[in-house]
Amino acid sequence: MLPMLEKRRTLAGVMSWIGLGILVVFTLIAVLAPVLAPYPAQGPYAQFLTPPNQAPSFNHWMGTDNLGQDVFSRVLWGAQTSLEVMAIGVILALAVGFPVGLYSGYVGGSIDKAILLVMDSVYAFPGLLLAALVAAMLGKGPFNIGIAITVIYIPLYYRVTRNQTLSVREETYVEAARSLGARPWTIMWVYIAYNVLITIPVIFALSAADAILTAAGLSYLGLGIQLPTPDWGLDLSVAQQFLTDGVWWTSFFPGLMIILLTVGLSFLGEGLNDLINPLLKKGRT
Amino acid sequence: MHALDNISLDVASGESIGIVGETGSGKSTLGKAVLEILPPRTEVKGRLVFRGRELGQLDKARIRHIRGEEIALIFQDPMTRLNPLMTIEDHFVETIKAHQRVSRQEALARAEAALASMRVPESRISNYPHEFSGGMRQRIMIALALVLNPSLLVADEPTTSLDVIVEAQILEILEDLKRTYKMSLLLITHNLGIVAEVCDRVAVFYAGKIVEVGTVDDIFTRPIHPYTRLLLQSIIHLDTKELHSIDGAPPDLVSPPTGCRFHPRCPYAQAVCREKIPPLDPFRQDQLAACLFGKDFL
Amino acid sequence: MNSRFDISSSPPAAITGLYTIDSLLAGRLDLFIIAIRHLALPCLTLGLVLSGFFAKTVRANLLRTINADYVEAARARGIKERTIISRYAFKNALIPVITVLGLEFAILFAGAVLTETTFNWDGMGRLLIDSIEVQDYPLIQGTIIVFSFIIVLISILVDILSGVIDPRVRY
Repeated sequence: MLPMLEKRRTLAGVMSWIGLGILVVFTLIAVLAPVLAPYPAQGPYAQFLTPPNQAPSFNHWMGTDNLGQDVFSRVLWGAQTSLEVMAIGVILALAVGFPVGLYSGYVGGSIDKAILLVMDSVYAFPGLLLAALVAAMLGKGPFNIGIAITVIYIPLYYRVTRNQTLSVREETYVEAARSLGARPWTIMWVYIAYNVLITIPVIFALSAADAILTAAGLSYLGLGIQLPTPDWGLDLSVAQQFLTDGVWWTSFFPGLMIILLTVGLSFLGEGLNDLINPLLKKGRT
Repeated sequence: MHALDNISLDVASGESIGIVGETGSGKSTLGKAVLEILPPRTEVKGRLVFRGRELGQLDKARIRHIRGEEIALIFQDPMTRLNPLMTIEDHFVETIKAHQRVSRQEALARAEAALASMRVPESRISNYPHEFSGGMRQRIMIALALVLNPSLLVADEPTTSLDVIVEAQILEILEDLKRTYKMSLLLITHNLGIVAEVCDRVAVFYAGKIVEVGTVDDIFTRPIHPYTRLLLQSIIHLDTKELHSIDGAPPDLVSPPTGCRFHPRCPYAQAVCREKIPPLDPFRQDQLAACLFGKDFL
Repeated sequence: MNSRFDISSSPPAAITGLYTIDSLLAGRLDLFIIAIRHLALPCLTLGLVLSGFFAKTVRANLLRTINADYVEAARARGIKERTIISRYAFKNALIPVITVLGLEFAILFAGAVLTETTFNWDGMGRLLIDSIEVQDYPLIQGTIIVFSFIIVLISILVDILSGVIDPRVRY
């Protein structure tokens, strides 16, 4: 489906590979957390294993937190929570935003304008606040947070899909298909969707990066994942109060994970963008 | 990829040469090469001699002064060639002041004179580019190009995006300039018609090489190279009964055909055309063609 | 209790409510310094995050304008490269950036929640989150309305500014 991307050692190519690599590593961490984590991350068997707030040592590579839980294990298990929320959020947003954008862009007229109005209003709102509102309404827990994330990103997928649809719709091959009597459904899904699809991976990666930050932000504010579930944002907010006592490892490592995953996804998105955009332009001469 | 291969052309003062070719023949690249405004990663091999000076040897400041003041270039698409944030007045004053030390009033006076000669109403000098039509913008561009009285004007498809009436007006202006100011003109186009009207000599380009050079009279009435002949055949006249075109498409310049680059599309091609690169030989006085069988077409 | 000012000193008399301006109006340079010191870290945080976004936007726009047709034409007329970059490429690149800048500024009114929480700052974002947590619906609605109003106001200002800079936009 994708045109053959030449194997060039470009910065964009390198970035994409690094990003993909990071994403794969984090996914593996999330999947293998039960195996990799030396200690449990929550529950009575996790707490007070050692005195709380111990610096990193041979037994606890990233130290322990205020409840004596092993930070390393919590960080590994936290990957599960983050990726779960991010995946639900972004995949559902794509599943809703893409078809609606396709339909809206293709049909045009007042239906398009109405949907656009709704989507734009949601889009204009700062993401974190909107997610907070939705999370407050739905309640806490990974799945509900995922839904909150979905709501924020639907307008983005809608917008991108709709814009692409609008330009692809005017291409001559679509006109040709229409004049040959193809049904709107066919045109939309076979001709237009196929060509719009190529812009989706970039948006997917970039919105995933943003989703990680938003989910972490929500937990940080206390509106997302709740204790004792391991989550990077949550651990960050708990760790804040102990910073002045010199306990840096409880905030550093969760924060580092957030940064790494976000940067990795951003690299993937930006790298793909630089690779795909010239191809798009070439095809438009 | 070589956009241009082995080009040698002389333009005399007061002479107008037409550069004719299809899209991708390298003619626009030639225009930009003359002014040294090719994109950064292009390599130029060869010599550009202007009024006895070799342009490749000059430093950046000198070249900048030659651009606009001695050689001017007008482009094909006037719609996007003016800075949307500057008035026409700003454009003129900036251009003039970039080359000569004159007061603003003096610059304005020259601007108004240039606009008047292009039949653009002087009162509109404080308007912005988006307030003008395409034809007007092209006339403004020509006025801008001429305001410093260059000795060579390179016109890259100046009328392609304009309607025929405006085109006729602009061609009239170009002919006028040739007569009045003895300005040399390098007219780059794919339109043989305007070449016949305005130019003294013609160079026919194909796939980055010159395939024929000669006077307008010779080229149009006694063409030698098969490509030129086929081009002329494809022009539609009032009594044209059948449409002729040239089979095939212009070659890919990354890996051009061996030997004569036209041989895949040439109805007279022989085996040797695939092997030998035909040199540009004089077949008549002042008429050169790059064909191994040129003699047969005289 | 917030971190906008020192605990030991008392903030200046409230004329605008902004400690920096009020302290200057009261002629108290020492209070001004205190206010600025407290502003330093939150502003740096927000600025650092936004600078990345702006660098990307400006770069993308500059790449677009620097290869524009009018730039090539200006070069062909022998205009100095420096002039071309500032007057032609940069100025044209700035137009969409200003729109984005304005919008981002508007969004920051209620959108800096994380910074406000970390630095213990009584901002509108913090207010909104707190009211959501306690489910104080009138406050939630009120805050959102005020916030929307601010965004609309700033959008209008940005539109006017665009018209000033870009002659094509004038009505």
